[in-house]
Amino acid sequence: MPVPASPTPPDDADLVRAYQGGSEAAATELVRRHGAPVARFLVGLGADYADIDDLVQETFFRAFRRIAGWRGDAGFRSWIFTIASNLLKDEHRRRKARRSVPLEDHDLPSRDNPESAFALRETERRLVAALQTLPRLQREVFLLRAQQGIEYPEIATTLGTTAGAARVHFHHAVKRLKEMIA
Amino acid sequence: MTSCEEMLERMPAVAMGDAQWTEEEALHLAGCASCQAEWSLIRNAVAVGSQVPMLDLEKTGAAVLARLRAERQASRWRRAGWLTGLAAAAAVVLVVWGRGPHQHPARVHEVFRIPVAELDSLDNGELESVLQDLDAPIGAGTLNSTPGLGDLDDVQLERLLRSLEG
Repeated sequence: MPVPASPTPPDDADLVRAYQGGSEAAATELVRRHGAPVARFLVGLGADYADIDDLVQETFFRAFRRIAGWRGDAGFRSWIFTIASNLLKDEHRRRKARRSVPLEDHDLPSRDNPESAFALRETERRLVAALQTLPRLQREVFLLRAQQGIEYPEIATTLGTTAGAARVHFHHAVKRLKEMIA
Repeated sequence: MTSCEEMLERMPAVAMGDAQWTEEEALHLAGCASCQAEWSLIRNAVAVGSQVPMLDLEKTGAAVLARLRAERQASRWRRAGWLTGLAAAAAVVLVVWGRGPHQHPARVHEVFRIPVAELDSLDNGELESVLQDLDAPIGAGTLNSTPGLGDLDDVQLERLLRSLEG
């Protein structure tokens, strides 16, 4: 079944329906549309740059395998973020015993503009490290709101809480991160 | 007048380029150290992951689809293997049970009428050979000399022969 032809680009729900009807092109379009935000979200949750490619692939693999589980009450992107988050949690649990923090190639500054790239990477490293000290719900609310710009009602649906609680989590997270990073 | 809380609520949209500060908000930001610290935090959060090497999402999509296809194929093979195994096991159980000492002679005909794919595909000679292999002591015996058949009366034997001949 082809991706539905319409004057406006198909939304995520259209693409999911097309994929369920057998359209692989629809699945490819969903990966193209959401792959980069998923990658950034994973970095925010503490994933290594070197693992991002595999993690993004695994996230979409899991998502399409259980696509019937997305009922459309939350956005497709929010839903896929929860899959990415659970995946990373599994990975961390698996690797915990043998995990170290080596300075790998991807931690080195870019050759194009070594100083600014290094500063940016250092800022990111400190923020991601601070995020790891927050409770999981606070961390995810912060990233969904601050990094992805998702509104509270959708965050609430995605994370199984209320919009009011999500807002409180966000403000708490900002307060604590400010204290840790300042 | 804009509060610090309202400023924080506006920050993600402005940091992502989806909105702009109003004049009043810009004034507030310029004079509020707390909001400046939060603004810096939100901008840094938006930038997290921006240095991830560009992903080849076409390749990622293709890899995901290939894995899904492989999984579906493996699942089909597992299901087919399971059904074949089950059918073969059922055939063996039915034949052994049908020929065993506890089998009631009157049910022989029914047993052989059960449509098991593997048995249905055999011709009479092959079926007889299967029966011989199952019943006879190793290396000896024919259908006629099988002890179980001796327990059947003429009518039952005739019925069995008819079922074997189709």
